[in-house]
Amino acid sequence: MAKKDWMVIESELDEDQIRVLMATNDKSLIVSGCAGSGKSVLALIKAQRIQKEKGNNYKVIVFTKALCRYMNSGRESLGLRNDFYYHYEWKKCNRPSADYIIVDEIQDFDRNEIQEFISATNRNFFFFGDTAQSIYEGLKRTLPVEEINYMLTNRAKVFNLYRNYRLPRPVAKVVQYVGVDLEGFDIDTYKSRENAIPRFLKIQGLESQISSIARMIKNGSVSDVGILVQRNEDVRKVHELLNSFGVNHELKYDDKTNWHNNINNLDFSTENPKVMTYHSAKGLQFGTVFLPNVVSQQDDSGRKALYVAMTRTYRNLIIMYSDDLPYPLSKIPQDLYKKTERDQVEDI
Amino acid sequence: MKKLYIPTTTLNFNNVLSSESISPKSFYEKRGFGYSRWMTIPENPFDNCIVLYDYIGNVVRPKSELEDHPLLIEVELDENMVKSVGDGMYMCDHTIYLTPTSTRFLFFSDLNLKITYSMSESSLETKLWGIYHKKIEILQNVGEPYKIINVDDLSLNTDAIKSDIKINKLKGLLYGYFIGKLLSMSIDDVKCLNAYKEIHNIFAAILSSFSKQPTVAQDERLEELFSYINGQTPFYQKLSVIVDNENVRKQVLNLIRETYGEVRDEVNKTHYLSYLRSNNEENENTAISWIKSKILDSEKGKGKYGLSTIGLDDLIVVDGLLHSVKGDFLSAEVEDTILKTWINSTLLKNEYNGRISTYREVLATDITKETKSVCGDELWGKSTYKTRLNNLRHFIAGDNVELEWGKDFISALSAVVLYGENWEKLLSFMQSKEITDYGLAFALYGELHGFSNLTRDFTDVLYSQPDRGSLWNVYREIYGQLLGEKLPDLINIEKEGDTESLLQKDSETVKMETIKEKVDPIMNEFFGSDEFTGLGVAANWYKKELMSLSYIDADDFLSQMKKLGKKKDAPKSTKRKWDKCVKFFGKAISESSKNQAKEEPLLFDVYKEFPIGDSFYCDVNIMIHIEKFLPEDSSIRNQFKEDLEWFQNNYKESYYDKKKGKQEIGLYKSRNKENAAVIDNFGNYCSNKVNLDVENPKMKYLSDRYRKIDIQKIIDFLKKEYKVNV
Repeated sequence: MAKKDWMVIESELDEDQIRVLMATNDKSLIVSGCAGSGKSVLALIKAQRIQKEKGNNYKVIVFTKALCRYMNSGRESLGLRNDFYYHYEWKKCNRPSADYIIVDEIQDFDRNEIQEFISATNRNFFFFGDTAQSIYEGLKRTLPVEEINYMLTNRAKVFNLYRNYRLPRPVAKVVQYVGVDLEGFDIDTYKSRENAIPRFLKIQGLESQISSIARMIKNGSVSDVGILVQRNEDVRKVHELLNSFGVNHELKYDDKTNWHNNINNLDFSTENPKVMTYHSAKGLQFGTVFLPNVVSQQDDSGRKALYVAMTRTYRNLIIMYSDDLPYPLSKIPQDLYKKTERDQVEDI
Repeated sequence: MKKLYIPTTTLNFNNVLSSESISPKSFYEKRGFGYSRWMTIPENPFDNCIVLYDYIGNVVRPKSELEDHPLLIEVELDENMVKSVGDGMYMCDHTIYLTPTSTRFLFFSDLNLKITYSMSESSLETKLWGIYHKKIEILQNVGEPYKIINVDDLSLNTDAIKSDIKINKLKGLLYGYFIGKLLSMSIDDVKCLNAYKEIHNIFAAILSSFSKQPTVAQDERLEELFSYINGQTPFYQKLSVIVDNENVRKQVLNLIRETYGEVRDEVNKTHYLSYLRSNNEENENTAISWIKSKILDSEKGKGKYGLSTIGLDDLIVVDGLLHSVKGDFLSAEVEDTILKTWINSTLLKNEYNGRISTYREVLATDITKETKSVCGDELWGKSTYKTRLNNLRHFIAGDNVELEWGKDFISALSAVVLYGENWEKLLSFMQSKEITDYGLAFALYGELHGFSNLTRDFTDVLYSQPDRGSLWNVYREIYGQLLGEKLPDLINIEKEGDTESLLQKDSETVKMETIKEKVDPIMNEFFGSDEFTGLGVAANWYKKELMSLSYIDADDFLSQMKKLGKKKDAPKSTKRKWDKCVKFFGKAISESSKNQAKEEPLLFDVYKEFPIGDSFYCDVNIMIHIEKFLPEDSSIRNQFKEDLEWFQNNYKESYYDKKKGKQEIGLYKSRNKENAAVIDNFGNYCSNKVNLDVENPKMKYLSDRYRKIDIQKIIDFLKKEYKVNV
């Protein structure tokens, strides 16, 4: 991510975000925010302020090593001097304390772990998270963000961020028919001004679909591209096809059977399209998301994965399928998407 | 002109510095650009007007969970611009445009200033610190609290809002033009940069592939790109002059490779491809690090134009409209009219405001219609404008059409419509099309986004220019064109003894620097020096030129002084003597700065700004604190700094070795990282340098330098600061 991706366009922030941004550092905070609400950026800006105003006595902790690496790009961009910890590493170092403890993705920790953070805090803590995004449901007893305050004698200030700044409204309308157990749809939740209508294109066969994608990439009509597919074997097929069409691209590949085959070094400073599975795309975002070879998703897990993939765009969503429009896309009202690759334009 | 004070809260500070103006609260909600928020306070409570006071009073903000602190903004205004309501109070129903010559930001405490500065750091639109930092001050004595105004609000001045919209867009246009010119590159540099970027794309693709090997197509393309890059090295260029025949050249090069292993400065494709095969995901791949550093180097300081060489009158705005335009992007008279129509009519519409991707189809159609209207049916029917603009519309709609790219005005507009969402993307796209002059494209970009929305990383291209005199000239030109007022020459302000000058000290406030006080005594001494009198009869010419220089700080003065010797009308045969004079003057300025730094309070205490961390082995600030123990000799300081950085890096798992240009494993990565152990190790490391083998010239060089450093003093200091028991 570029430096400015870790800074804010302050004039575009809503009142809730402004309150988090402008809050004093002399009280602990718990910030609960939905996907796309800018939590991680606000967490690092909090660290930047502490460093500028109070010095280096702070620690930033996240749950996974992968997230730690992602946050580290922000650390360098914002000139933060302290190393960040992933949770295991922090524990291994005997849970070092600090005046200020900042934890992102707090929803992935259990009660004891959160208590350890609080105990390690000499002055104030700043927790950022979203219960809805807990990825360890059923695997560990994570504590809902809303319940953290009940653990404290001196209550922390709680902020809620409700608005999604990433997902364009036309895409938000479409994915309502794909997601599972979603809350009631409120268009005002989505603040992005991007207005491109999603396209569902019937193109027979993967090869023709990738050929079409390759053409759009080569003529420069799309940029910052993610090509998301359902399965690992599709990643291999798309890789071979893109090579045959002469398109440089990068892969993210998780081989569950042999970790030696994993590929995970996406370089976001290149213009190369990135190819990966729906699952691998969680947490990432692209200007244009292509979903080739979409097939019916009858069960909840398949629909959830498709939902994750469709919501990775901050501008264009282009879905490709063979034969009939697959379920649950077939449920979507036709006025919410376009069926052609291009719009009709009359010469002036 | 009257000096007036606007009480407000620091919560508005970033807003003010994004637009360089202050407006009545309702303007922010209604004008549709920049911030829509403005926080009112009891001393300034109205929606439709700003309250100003003619004295410095006290402002107290209630205790809050937000960083809400008092702020006074001092402005100088013509009394006709404000309405007096008695008791030293005034009302103003329009935007007040700020300038560093007539504005001061007055904080009530060092802490408030520090917090406000820190909060501005994360805000991309807060972009004028560099211009105003000398006008940001801390009030030492505050008066009585302000009286609260007790009259009705004024009615909303809608004409003033319309004027603000126009000024914001045209200010974006003018800033965009100068910044675009500064970003412009020569064709050779653009080609080189494109080659590096393409290598980066291919390397990243190989690295994240299954085989970690290039495809045939990638390998062939890499071969071409590496050949191109090698062809640009001085050695190859010289060889091409000496040896005409390409085959003979190849034979010579092969002979060098066989004999010496490598041709100096040559980049070897095979070498980097082998790095891509030995990937360790923990650290950045060496080949990727290398290519990224080449891209960075290629982007740095490759400007085609210096700030002083850009014509201040290339674009002229008069009365809120573009009046004239110069540039080789126009090739027919009608194009001048078309471009002015775009700028004065189409792009000036308020609906085209930032976020170009949300309206690019509508904008392209609007532009096409306007152009047709200017051309008339006959010209339009046979013109290339019709084809190119309609092709642009087809391209946006998803048609597979080829667009033409060149230095013309339609290319500039097309690039902005397609890629103007983000300035770096726009720049990169134009570079990829081997366009080399970006003035017009970024002018259009600036107008569509408006000045207020321009981000700091973009405007810093201009504000960070070292030629401060030319920067001031550009600033003054833009201000004059937009607001019809001429800002003074800084040097003239000083000469006239204006007590409110930009750089004047004020008894009530603490100032950072007073340029006149710094330069004048040195100048007087200089005129009496042997160096100056040695110029003989030419001295009079130099003295006259020196006295008429406009400058904004000592560095700027020195930079302009150097240029005097190169002026066309400079007395002949004095160049060497003048260079000596400049050297003499520079030394005097430098000495003066050292003394002054000891006496004058700084805006931010550097030691507080860069506090010592918890662990010595990873504390990047510590060098700042150690510097005071090192001799003045810069070669010793640089050597020590380099060695300290190396020492600290070696406690990491791995690090990028700048000298070797590759990733290295940390030698001390498994050692004890407790401060006591690390400091002891550092003590030994430094002592070893003192005792190096002096028979070896390289070692002698190092040893000589370390002998001049009081190592024990530094070790004692480190132990004290990191609380290590002695």
